[in-house]
Amino acid sequence: MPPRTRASATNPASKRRANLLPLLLIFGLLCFGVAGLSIADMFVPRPYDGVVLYKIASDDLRVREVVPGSGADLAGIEAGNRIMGIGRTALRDEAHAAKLLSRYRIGDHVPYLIKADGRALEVDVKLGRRQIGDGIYFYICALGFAFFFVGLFVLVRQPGLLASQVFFLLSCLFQVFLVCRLRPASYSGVDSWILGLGTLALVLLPPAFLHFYVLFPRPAWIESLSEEGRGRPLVWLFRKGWPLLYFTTPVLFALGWWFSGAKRGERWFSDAPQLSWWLLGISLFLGLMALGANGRRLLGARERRGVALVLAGSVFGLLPFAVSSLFVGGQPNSRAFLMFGLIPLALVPITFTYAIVRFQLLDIRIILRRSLLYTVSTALLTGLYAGTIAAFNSMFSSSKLVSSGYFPIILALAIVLLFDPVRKRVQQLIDRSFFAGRSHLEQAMEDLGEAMMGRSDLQGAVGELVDRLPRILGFRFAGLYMLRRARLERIAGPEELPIRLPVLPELQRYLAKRRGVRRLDQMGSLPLRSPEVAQLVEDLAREGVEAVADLASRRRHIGLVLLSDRPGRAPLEDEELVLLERLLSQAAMALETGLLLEERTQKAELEREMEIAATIQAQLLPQAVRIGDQWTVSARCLPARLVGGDFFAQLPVGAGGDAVIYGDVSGKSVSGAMMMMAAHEALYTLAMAMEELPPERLFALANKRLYGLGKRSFVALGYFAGNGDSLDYLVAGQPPPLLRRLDGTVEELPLPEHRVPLGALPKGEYAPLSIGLKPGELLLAYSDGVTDARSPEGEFFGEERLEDVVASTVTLDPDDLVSQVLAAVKAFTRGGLLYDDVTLLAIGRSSESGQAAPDPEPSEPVDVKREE
Amino acid sequence: MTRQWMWFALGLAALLLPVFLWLVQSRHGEPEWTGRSPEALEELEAGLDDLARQYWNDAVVHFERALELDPDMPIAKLQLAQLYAGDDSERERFWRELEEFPKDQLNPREQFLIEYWTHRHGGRPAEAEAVLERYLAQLGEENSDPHALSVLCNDRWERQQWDEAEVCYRRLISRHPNWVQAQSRLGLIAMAQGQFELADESFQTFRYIAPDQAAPHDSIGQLQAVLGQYEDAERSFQHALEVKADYCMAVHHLQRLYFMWGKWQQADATLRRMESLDTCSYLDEWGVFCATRAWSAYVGGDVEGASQELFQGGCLEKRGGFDLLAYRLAVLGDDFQAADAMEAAIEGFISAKESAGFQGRRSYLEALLFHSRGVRLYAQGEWPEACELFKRADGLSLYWGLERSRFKLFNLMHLQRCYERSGHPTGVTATRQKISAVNPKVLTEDWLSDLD
Repeated sequence: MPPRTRASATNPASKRRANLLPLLLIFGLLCFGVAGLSIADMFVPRPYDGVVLYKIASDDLRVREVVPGSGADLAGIEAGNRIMGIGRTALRDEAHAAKLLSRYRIGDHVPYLIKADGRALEVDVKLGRRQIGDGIYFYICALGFAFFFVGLFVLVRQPGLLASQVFFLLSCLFQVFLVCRLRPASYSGVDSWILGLGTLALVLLPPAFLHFYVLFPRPAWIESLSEEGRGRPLVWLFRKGWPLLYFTTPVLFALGWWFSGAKRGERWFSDAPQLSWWLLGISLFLGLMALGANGRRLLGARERRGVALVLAGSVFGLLPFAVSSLFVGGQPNSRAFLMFGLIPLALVPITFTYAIVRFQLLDIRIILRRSLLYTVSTALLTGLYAGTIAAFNSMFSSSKLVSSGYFPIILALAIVLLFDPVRKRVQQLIDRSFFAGRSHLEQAMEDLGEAMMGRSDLQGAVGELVDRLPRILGFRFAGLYMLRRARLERIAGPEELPIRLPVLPELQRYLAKRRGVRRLDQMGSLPLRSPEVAQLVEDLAREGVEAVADLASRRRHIGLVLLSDRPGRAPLEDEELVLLERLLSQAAMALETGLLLEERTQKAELEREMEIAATIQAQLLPQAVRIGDQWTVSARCLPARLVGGDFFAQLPVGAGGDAVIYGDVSGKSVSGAMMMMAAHEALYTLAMAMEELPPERLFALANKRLYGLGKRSFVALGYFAGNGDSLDYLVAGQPPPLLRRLDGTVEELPLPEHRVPLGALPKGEYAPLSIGLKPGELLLAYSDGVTDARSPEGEFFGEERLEDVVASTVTLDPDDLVSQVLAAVKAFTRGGLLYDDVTLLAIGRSSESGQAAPDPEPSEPVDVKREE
Repeated sequence: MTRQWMWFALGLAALLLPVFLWLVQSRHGEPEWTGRSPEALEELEAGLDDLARQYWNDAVVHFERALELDPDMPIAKLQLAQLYAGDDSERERFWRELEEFPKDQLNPREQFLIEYWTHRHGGRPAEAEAVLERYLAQLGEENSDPHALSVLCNDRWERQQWDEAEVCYRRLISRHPNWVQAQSRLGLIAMAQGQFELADESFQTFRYIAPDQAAPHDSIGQLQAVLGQYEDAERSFQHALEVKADYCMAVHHLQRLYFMWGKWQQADATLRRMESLDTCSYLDEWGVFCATRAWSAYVGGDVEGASQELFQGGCLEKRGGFDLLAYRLAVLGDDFQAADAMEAAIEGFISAKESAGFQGRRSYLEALLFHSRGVRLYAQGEWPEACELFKRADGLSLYWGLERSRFKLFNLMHLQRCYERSGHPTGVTATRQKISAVNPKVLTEDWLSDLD
């Protein structure tokens, strides 16, 4: 995946647009306020004569139109009349008229002096309450505010896009133009201000229209010109020089004002120079050409369709307005202007809104509630039915069918039979028109979720997630990090992403709390509170990551999903987020399943390995130990786990003799077993390599070897070798062996002074001792696992109990002794797990037959074997 | 220490407050007119109001009363001096006292008015103009003193600088839309130039803003009468008389209307009504009554009676030595000596007007002179020359009110007949069209059979 330079706030163009945003919003607020106040002003109770004025000269006020039913209308004042005096005062100018009227109250009769048909007449006008104007103006205001809200909506959705900013500006100007410029004026001084603002908006509309259409939905035409190296002035104008565009029309307007001069009445329309209307028309025409040029160069079919729709709406909506402004005679609020100019204007916001909703122009996605649309369509259909019934009733009211008693039944049947199929058809149409894309998306996400859940293997689930999700939602990539060995390791994703990520509990808590996808730039104050999080966010952002999501199951935290940006598309909409979060939940479950499966497999493999290890370890222990003909040795080794650290072995000691060693490695289970193997091999190799190695030398060399391993493990070792009637022994670290004498007493074997386990110290001095045994006497050597065995209550088996067991046995057979001791330990632990490995080594003096001395009482024969 | 500062601040405020109040008072509290007595000022205001309504007699009463209450009130004296109330010596006394009045006791407007009118009265038009310009400059471009503007506008009006006068009156109206005199004058200016629609507009506006005054109805009536709308004119004059029964101008114009209309009985009755009104006494002094009686007799065929009325009993003297009918009778009676004397009299008036620097009635007087001479030449059979004089008279005359409009039409009729006599059909047609465009009814009148 190619490295991507992520657009950031450091981009100068973006920064400028971001700086313009507050100004735009303030401007919009002002425009909205002005329009609102303009309308509100019309509700201020003022005495009103019903005259809508226009000014030919400062002292020549003419009646543009008369509100039907108003005092002026009833007095016979008509359009075209000149108002010369109000309230017995000759009229100076418009402001004077407002001042004169303000002296009266609603209901007062005021004498007016008018000039009509060349004659001056006095008429009596009864002042009424100021009216909002007629339905035409209401329609105009509705249009104006519709424009404003569409523009605001676009700006809120796409604040950084220049096209949306210009569109908002255009909407505000259009609103002010419609509400203020076309407002039915009267004498109020406020009117002059409002009409003036409307004129200002009219002046700025042409460049705004042109600017917008050049940018909408993308300035593809300008970009193609730039790439081809053509039209440099145009490219410069619309890229950098657009402020110049906004200065040109006011200058031209001023010139038009200046040159209209004495012929002001002739060359003006709606109190504005005709030149300004021409400018509007020309700008619209050029703008639509630019829009067409943009549309042709767009790559996406959907965008092209949207642009075509907007183009059609503009052509049929705006051009009639411009043409009727220029060529329809009469006053701006005349019927002709309404029919040909204003009504078609509604097409513009309608087509634009529909284009955004349907084709996601300007990368705006609108989530329409299907239920709402269904309800509205059903309501409209119901209304249509009701209207049809009413029309039918009215048209055929005199017919026999309507008066017949069967008519209601027939009607009800018709409604029942037709209503639902029609309603469904309409809903299907709605689905096809508005929700096609969304249903595809839902289906795709559903499929992906099922695919992941259907994969039992972890890699499969990961692959489904990381490969398909970007394609569905338009991400450049998706990356998956899973928690392994207390680190987040990259399992899937582009190689540019870090291999590992730090595990940051704050981040994890933050994401877990919010349960969903979070954008990196919407982490709130978390980066401020945690420098590590801030660093991570920065690093990820540099690699093109835009959002992260936490993956967690009920049992554990699984990892993180990293999502890139979506080139050419808007940030995730709410419904997409919901689908994504749902999918990630499914992904978490699928990954959890995979992990469990993996773990189980690993565990099974481990268990198998352990079993093999135990078998190998068991095979290392000799089946039987012989240290001379007059000695009978029985040894058992019982690991606390599957493998253990205890062992015993038979070592050659030279002159054809052997010794028995028994060892206890510090540590249990696998670690103990590994150490046991090392110690066993060290001792055995030394013994095999150096013939007739004295035991103290053996121990010293083994100690050196084991210490050199550096594992800080040590081996408690015991050594017995037959020497005539005695046993030579060495004990390093093992508990003192017990000796049961013939009289049944049990005593500990004297131990050498130096008995540090092997490997504990770099150097050891070991001095062997010797003990004589008579036939019938038994020596029991044991590892500390015997005495450390615990009862379920936590009591240790202990040396005393061991001595008692040894003392209580009457057997003379070492094997039997070992068995009895083991039985006693098992009975003590009541079947519970051994705390430590148990090794027992019993040595007895054989009889002259080489057999063990017979028991005083016969006992069950015990095999010299290792307990399992 | 804080208390001391507080007392200091209070003391300072106590000192500064009166100064401040005095300054405010001096800037905004200047009374409009100088006077010692509030009652006198009220009478003065009432008189000025009557003046605006053209109720001259009522105005004189109020001004005299104001002077009784405040003998030194300068503006009351000025108004009385201008209205020629009282006898000549009293008027001259007023002018003298006005010239001697201490100027520092007058506000700037009063200083200006007194200075201006004393120069005008003293036959110093240039100085008067200089005073006017100085005062206007002092007020500045945006001055809104209606009195100053009114003087300026009237000045231009009197000089017959119609365009400037119209601009001035419109400027006055733009600041004071209900300045009735301005509306009236605009109507007159328009009417004088034959812009009857515009004149109607101004008069209607005049009537609209002052429905309780007789003058606007009278003005409308005059226009209607000139245009041959006799019934409407009669109603307008009667309406004026309903507003003010002794409004002399309306009575006078009504009488003229009946005369034009051919309703001799009503004309005579109205004449008697005029004679009975105190407000019309000045007409008697000007010889209007005797001249009217002479015309009545003349149209009734009583030439002798008309001559007696004019030449005996001092009527001609009252008329200043000239009367249109008297001259006509003199010509018809071959009394060219009398005719010459009357020409000399009117020439004397013209010279006086010329030296005064104001056109005023000068053009009208010249028109009268040319017309009269035309009548003389017509009677002598010198028609081309007569036509030329009638034409010149037409060029100098305007549709200025009913009287002069009537004269203009009268003169046009003579011109038309003269063209007929001199075999100038084009002139006849053009003149008939000119008459017909104003008042076609005049074409049916026969005034020249006596000359033929």
